[in-house]
Amino acid sequence: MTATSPKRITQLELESYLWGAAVLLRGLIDAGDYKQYIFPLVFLKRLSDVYDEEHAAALEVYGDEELADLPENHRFAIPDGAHWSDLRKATSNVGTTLKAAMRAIESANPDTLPGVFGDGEWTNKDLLPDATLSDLIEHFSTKTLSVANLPEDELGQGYEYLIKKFADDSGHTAQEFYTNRTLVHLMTLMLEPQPGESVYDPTCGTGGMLISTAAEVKRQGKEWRNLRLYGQELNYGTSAIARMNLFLHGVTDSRIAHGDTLSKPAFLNAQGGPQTFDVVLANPPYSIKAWNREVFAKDPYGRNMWGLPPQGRADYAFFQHIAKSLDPVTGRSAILFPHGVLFRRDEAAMRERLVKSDLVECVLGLGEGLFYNSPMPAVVVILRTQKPVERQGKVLFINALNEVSREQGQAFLRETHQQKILDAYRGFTDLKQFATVATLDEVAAKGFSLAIPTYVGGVMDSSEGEQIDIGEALASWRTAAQNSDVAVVDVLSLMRREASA
Amino acid sequence: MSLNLDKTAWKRVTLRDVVRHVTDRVDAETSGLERFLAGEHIPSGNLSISAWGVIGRDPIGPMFYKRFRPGHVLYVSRRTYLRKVAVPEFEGITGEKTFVLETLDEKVLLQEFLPFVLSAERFHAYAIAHSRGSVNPYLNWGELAAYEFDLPPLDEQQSLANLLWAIERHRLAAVKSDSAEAAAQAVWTREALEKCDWDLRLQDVVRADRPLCYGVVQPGVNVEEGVGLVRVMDLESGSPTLSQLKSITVEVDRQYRRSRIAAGDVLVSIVGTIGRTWLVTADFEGCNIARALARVSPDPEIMSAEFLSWVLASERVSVALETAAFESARKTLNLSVLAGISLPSASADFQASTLERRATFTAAREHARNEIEALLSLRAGLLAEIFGGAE
Repeated sequence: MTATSPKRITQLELESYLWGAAVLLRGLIDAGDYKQYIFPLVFLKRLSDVYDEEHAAALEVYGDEELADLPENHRFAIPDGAHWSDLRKATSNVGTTLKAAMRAIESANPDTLPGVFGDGEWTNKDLLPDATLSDLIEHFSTKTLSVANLPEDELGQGYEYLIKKFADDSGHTAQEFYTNRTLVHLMTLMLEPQPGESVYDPTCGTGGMLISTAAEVKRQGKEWRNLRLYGQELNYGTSAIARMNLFLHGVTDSRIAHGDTLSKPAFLNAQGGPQTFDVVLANPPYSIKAWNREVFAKDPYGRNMWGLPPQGRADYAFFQHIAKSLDPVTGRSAILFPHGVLFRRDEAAMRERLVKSDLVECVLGLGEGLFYNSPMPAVVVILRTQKPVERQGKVLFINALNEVSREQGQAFLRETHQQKILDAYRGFTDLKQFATVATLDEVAAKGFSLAIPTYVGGVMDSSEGEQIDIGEALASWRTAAQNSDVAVVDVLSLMRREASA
Repeated sequence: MSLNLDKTAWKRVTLRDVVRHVTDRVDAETSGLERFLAGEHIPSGNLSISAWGVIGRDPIGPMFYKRFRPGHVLYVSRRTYLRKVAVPEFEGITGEKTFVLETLDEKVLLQEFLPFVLSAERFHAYAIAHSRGSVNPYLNWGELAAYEFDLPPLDEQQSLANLLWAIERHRLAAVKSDSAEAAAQAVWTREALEKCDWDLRLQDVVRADRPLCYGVVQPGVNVEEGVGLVRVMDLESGSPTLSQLKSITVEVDRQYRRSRIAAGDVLVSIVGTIGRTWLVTADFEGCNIARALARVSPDPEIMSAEFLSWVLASERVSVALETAAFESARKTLNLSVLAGISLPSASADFQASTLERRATFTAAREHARNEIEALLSLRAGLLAEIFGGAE
């Protein structure tokens, strides 16, 4: 083992280090699959380097190699032959060696790491020749990923960066991996998760929303380590990344399950019903068509209490799943949906029951382009099981279509946008052209439609800006027209002079 | 000031009750019609159509079978946020995703008033909010037909339509004026440059202490409080906006000290889009540039920065740059090639008088564009006043 002197890794260095690995894989595998290979390797490197770091610290204390290797000095066990330094020695069948090391580490840490490395095809030499794997291993060997060099949330941010990069690179509508962080931040502020609460994301992707929750509680200077984070993710590779991601962010009390939330919800209570949570944050995949509607029609968990969603869009299946997953006393959720859930006709009966349940606290309409590769405007629906008395029987509609900024084709919410929305939500009162409180009777009178423009009127597009005074507009046009006429005369006389010169 | 509209006699109507969705099916090949309109031909935010496809010459999709006639209102129902509403002056065919609309009854709704109902921001906000689908959001006929608005009596429709169409005619005149000025300027520039001897190379005019260079190769992530980085895309609209620049860290900027920019530098794009130029203004002092831009710092004794940027933007030089670029994955212009590009040698007097005359054109075009802006703003104000917000 070589002790390396600590060298703080900047975010920029980390990013080019991570991206450099992707460059090595370019052309060999599909960009969408990079993450399946890069994340596990980084994670393995991190485990080895942290182990060495712990070993060195223990050696300082005990002055004895053997004692320094005792399990109590280490967060994770690394069996013989599975350390990064062992991998560097492999020259042939590198993939087999790698896979064996990963499995050995998973088995040696049965409470924390089973399945964390995912199911990449490490041994497929057509995909990953020995030379490529050796290059990757050598590339990752160029930095020491100890906690001293790279505190937990910084490595976590590096992961986030890579997730975002892959979202850009493989042309997925990256929602699968990535929800706009500024929006997640706003959703977290609206739900105010508290220390010790349980937080759940039924379609957690790489775990970004869960991490954002922990980060927010931490930012507020509260105890965040006792948050209990739960997530389920359909894609196996993505769920493995979510687990690593949470580890790397220093979140230890979390459970990420792999599987289909609709047909096999992973978290159940003692009676076999859906487990309930204090906070649910979700960005379900939009209007998916490939879902098991027959099974949902006879859902043993009773998650079709409002009705059976059409085959063409599972939105209301997720909606009902989330409603069922809320703690009856403390539960509240923020769900990111397409606008259609507010008014589509084939979901009218389910929407009516949703409204009558009085779970809906707020319907927030957002500006365009808050997703990668999709200009679609989104809505956030806030549900709350126990509304304060003054909010019972009422829904707040917020039209925040213009509270959005754009840079390089990417939209985001500035601090000021978030504050304005948050103030409106907390104030729960009418604000001209921005927010309207409607009673359930008023919603019923509109045929239970929740379409925002039905309630909040007169929102001008941001490009139209402030109310335009017609008198002023007319005066400026007159001036502009006169100036333009004079300028045309100038051009003509110049051309004449030139022609006769 | 306002129009002081008295809306007491106005009636709340639903689009469905006053508008017909015209579905006049024809076969493109055998219809004898000459033109078709696809989404890209229909402009965003203004009513007049200036481009079209020609049936039998341009590729036309299989779903093009809807016939429209002059004066019909066309509304593109895909990607409603693009706000595409237009009124053709000719007949032709459009695709299934474009609604062809006409009034049900001229005694209730004037056809010439209809385009403005659908141009109001209130309508667009409704359309965007009621769109379905994620990647390619669209509005179906049912949702469109359910739109409610207040309809003025016929005589008021007539006077409002007259006013709004007058604005549209002025806007078109200003657009024509701008393009005529642009054409005149191009002719004048060509002639002025032909009078010069082209015996200089770009490297001859570059200051010795600020050599030709390109910018930051690896800018890293955007940081909140960093050094502004000018990129090719910032030059797309003519000139960048300081507040919209991406920022790089101070460390990265320090690594690329060589390419920091100052007032009087000229930037030239050399990757992807070749030959876009911009004369750096004082408020960008100390910013840096991206790899796809080259910095040219002219020696004012030999050539003024304004003159250089004018020459570089001329047709003659931009064609030369474009031709000199090589294509790998993206078009790239090597610095050595840029350094060797021919420039005219011009006395200080010639430079000054040329720039003075050029200012006449620049002013005229700017005024034309200001007029267009002013008209659009006036129109938006009128539409907001006429159609207002929902209750």
